[in-house]
Amino acid sequence: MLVVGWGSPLREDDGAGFAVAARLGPPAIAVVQLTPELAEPLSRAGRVLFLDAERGRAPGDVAWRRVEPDDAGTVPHSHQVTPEGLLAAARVLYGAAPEAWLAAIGGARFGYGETLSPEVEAAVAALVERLRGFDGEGACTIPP
Amino acid sequence: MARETIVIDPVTRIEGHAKITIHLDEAGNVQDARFHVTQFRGFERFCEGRPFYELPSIMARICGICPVSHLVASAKACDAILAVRIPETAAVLRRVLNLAQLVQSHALSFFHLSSPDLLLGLDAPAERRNLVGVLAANPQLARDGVRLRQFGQQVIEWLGGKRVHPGWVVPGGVNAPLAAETRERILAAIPEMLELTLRTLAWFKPTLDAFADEVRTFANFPSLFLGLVDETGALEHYDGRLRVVDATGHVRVEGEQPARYAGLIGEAREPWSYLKSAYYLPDGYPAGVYRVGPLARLNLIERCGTPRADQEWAEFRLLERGAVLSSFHYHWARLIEILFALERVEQLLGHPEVLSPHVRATAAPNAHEGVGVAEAPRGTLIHHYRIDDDGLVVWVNLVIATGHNALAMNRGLVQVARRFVHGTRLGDGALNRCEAVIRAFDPCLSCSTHALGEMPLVVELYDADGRLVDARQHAG
Repeated sequence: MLVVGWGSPLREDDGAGFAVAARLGPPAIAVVQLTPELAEPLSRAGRVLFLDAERGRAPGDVAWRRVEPDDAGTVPHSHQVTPEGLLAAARVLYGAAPEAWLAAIGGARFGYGETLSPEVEAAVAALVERLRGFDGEGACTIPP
Repeated sequence: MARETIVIDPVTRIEGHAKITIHLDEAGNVQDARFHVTQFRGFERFCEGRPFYELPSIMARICGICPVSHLVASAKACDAILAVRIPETAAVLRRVLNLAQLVQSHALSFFHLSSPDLLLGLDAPAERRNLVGVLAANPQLARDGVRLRQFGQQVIEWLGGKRVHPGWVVPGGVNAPLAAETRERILAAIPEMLELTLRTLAWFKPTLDAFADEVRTFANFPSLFLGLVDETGALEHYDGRLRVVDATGHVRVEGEQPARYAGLIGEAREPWSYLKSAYYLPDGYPAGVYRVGPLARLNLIERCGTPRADQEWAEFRLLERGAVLSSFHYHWARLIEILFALERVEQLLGHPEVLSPHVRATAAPNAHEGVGVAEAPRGTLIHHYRIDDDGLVVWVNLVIATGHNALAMNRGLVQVARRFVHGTRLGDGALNRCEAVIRAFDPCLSCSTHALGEMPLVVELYDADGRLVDARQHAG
């Protein structure tokens, strides 16, 4: 399973997804934003877990959602590459799109700062602990 | 009829936030057009008071696309403050890093930001310009773009420790030597990168026939061109001297030391934009229009200096007897520069001292002022600092590629609007072309205003009385 976490580590809880992937280390991918070239490693993964912060959700609460490729082409071609667009790009360009999940981590603070709120820090630590053993196919029990 | 104004806000697929306004006269003809940059960060001011040796790592934060350019120019300005000659190996390694960034930045511009225009044409409606539609139009091209971006970013990460905002370049050189393993990994990837770049050139050149109207009208006018060249007149992105040529290709300024840029370049401010407009000082404002970046660099030189790039450059220069004037050809120029960068990196990694451990000179400040100049992907980048006796920064001036091109972008916008905007409503074709002429320059507004954010752009249409009569934008 490939873990892709994104967000800004300079904007407090916005960096929650980045923090999980960064603490896991390679092969998990920690990026500030999703970019088109991620389509290539995605296409080689059997399963992918995206991790991102989400406003409007209780701080530290984690929601699990399936993510499907945007085969219908509703994602505009712009700076914003979404998980759905990346999966579609993986399929169009490399012939395969993995089963994908998104873990949306509720955030409390999105100001300037490099620390997470206590609730998000706890959620990030729990996710890291849970994901640390997932290094191969079949070991994943996501979502809970 | 009354005079009217069209607004395009935001402009999409460029780096930063901006809008376009198009002003119509009483007869409904385009009278003027402006490219407004609507964001501001002010790096020049908040660096005041910082120790000068912090500036390279601070300045790299100006931009997430070309942090290496700011890192290199800033470190060179600090080298001048230290008054040191950095080890030759350090200069070679900085060059490799700078060229790797050029590859990934040009690939982003060509394969990602401009590919909908080039693949689908400029009359394609917005609903066809979705991610899947664009990728499916030419999957090989898209894959090649992904590989080139990966390569450039991977080299930056191998050398600098991370892909965005690497801290490897420091005043006096670089902070770690090149590992033999890294050298071999980079060299091993270059043949594939050369192959796919040549494949892209072979695809792109015949497509120009479909863009004759755009070639004719996309900022296609006589202007000056400015940039660095090396001591033999070849393509140069790290060092060298400033050269200015005119539209006929004749040299107006030769061999100017980069530190004396202020004798060539003035900067004007307009109340409607945070982007400063640079102009060629001897010709005054606003007459002193000049261009920088890939098109300018290929107009300035006598050769690229690498075999394959020289072949492509020779073909490119056959477009015109003098300088190549259409800014649509920035796209072609980017591909030739990618080719050059790959060949040059291969040459540089063959330097006999490239693995030397001596990569940094150390000294205390020996001057109160320093200028660092390098060629960023988008054009000539100038960092100029002054410090006090304690080494604290008291003054900063940054002249950024997009600022050099500001006057040319505005003139290009007027040219495109006069050709493609008819009446008081913007069709898809006019909207696309107003954006695309700006996009040809690949402006980076985070750099040029030192501003934060994405770059959706709005086009607005105003009547003769200043009333907004239409405004359109693509999805950001």
